[in-house]
Amino acid sequence: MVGNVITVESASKTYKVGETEVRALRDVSITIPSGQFVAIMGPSGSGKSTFMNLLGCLDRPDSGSILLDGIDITNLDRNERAGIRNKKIGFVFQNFSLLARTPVLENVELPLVYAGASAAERKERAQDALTRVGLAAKINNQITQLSGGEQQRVAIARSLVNRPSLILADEPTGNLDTRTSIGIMAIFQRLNREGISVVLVTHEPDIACFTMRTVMFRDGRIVKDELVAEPRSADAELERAA
Amino acid sequence: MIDFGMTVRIALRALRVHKLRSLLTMLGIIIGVGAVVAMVSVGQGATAQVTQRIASLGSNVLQVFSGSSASGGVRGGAGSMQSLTLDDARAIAPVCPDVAAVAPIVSRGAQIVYGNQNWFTSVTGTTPEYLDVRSWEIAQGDMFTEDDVDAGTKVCVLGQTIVDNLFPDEDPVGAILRIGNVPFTVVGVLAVKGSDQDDIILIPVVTAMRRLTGRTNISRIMVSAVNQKRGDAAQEQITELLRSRHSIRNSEDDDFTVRNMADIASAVQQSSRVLTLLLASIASVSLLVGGIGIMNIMLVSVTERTREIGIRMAVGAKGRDVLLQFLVEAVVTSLLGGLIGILFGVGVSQLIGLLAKWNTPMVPGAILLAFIFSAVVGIFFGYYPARRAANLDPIEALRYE
Repeated sequence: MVGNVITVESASKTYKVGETEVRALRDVSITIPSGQFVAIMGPSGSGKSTFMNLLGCLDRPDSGSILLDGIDITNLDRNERAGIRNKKIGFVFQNFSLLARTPVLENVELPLVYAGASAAERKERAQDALTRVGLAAKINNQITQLSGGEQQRVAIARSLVNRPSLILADEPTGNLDTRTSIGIMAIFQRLNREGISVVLVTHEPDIACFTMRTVMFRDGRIVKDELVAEPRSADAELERAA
Repeated sequence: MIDFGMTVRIALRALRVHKLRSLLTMLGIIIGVGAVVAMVSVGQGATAQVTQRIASLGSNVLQVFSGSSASGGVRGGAGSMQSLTLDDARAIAPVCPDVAAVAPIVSRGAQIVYGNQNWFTSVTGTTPEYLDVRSWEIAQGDMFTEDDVDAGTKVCVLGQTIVDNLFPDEDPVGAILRIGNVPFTVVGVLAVKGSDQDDIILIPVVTAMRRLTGRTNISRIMVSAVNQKRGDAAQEQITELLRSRHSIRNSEDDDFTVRNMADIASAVQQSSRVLTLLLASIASVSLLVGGIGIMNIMLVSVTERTREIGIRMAVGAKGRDVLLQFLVEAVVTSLLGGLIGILFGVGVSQLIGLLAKWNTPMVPGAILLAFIFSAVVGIFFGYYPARRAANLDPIEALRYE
């Protein structure tokens, strides 16, 4: 079934910072079909982080509604949202957000731990996810022994391991050099070809051009939403550079 | 829901990361549990020791002391009045039904000389019934007889300590030793009683009055009741008899004191129990302090690991998963501390037992209690920090640097 992985209808969110109210999101509506690779762009303070928090089930809108994979996640409580994050969403962060002093394999297993999977299943699926990001050889390494690009690939493996409907990547290439960034984008493109929907926040047009669609935020609103005419292939870029 | 073994593994890893810090955190619990275990063990050992000593004295024994003298406002204390006589002692047995045996005592310290050996000890003048009162046996030879008492014969019976010191490699029975300057023939040796009650020498009471004290009164009377339960009844009967013999009017105080060994024993046991309880409760204050230490470090740990908590929440850890993780960490810390503390406490109590030559028993109840108590301390003081971790906002936690 090809439906929408995300349906947001007129979502608004206001924060109170001291005395002043910050209207982070104003009446945002958007649908993202399953299997799409979307880049969210915009300057800081444009509301894109707030939007990502809503999609990631980390926060609730003040008004409006959000459907994830057909499930209404608008009014879930803390624990229900944790359950949705566990089963439906994979997170990749700018600063990798891995557990230091914990072996690679256990980092990747983490979502499965909270899903209550058995040790054998955890290991098998984590190994599988690490193979998909090309890190099968580093399974027993410590996180600190890996380069930045490798750490981000571990984080991608972790986001994959629970077979999510949606991967949310918040500036995943922000801390990486250009070549490594393209390598990471190649992985996202490959996963996307395998059918996983990816929503990626970036402020670099060079990164956004690897996606299918760019959505531009400004002052809490979507100001531009267009398909990328010809998405570039990260694999091809890598070959050319080599 | 995360499985429990995994939670314990995560907790152990967190403790390993900060080894020194974990050890210092545990120290309060180690000292607290160790002190409680050691105190209770040593306290029980002491109580047992005292009880045993009193029991070997005879728990059905009563002692009658002469009263205190008062002249011109100066009071002399127990025994200063010299009000008891040999006839008082002889009068007790026939009229007091709950009295089993009566022994008058005249005692005085004296230097004992045999050959080139000498020894200072307390010489006890008494009657053969002394053995019945103290439930004591003769190991060798015989006790002197009532005839010896009446005639004031110069014979003596020795305790084992005297034998050891004066007759290192000689049979004492039949030997003649000198008490002060008076020669006495040894007729028997007492069985070993231990706790150095064997440092004793018995002679006929009349001989003691004539040769040692030169007085007509006796120091005290030792009485055994028919059994421990009748001790109070025997005490009343003796009091009544002696008041009438000493012509004391109803309004006047006794000129003697009756002490019941059972009362003394229970008083001593009571006081040592109270002391043990007191020490143990002081020690448990350090458990409390240890708990506060755990809470302090757990709060630091929660703050330090805010990002980790954020990551765990992002990938699906529910509030109770995080709560459990930190709670288990606190409990593992306190239980580990408790275990080390128990070993430490048992070690200390065994050492004290070795030095004091007591038996310091391991008290399973106290060990179990200390262990449970340390777990409770972990839960109690770990709950607040764990709760704080569980209530963190995942967005804030992920952003925390």
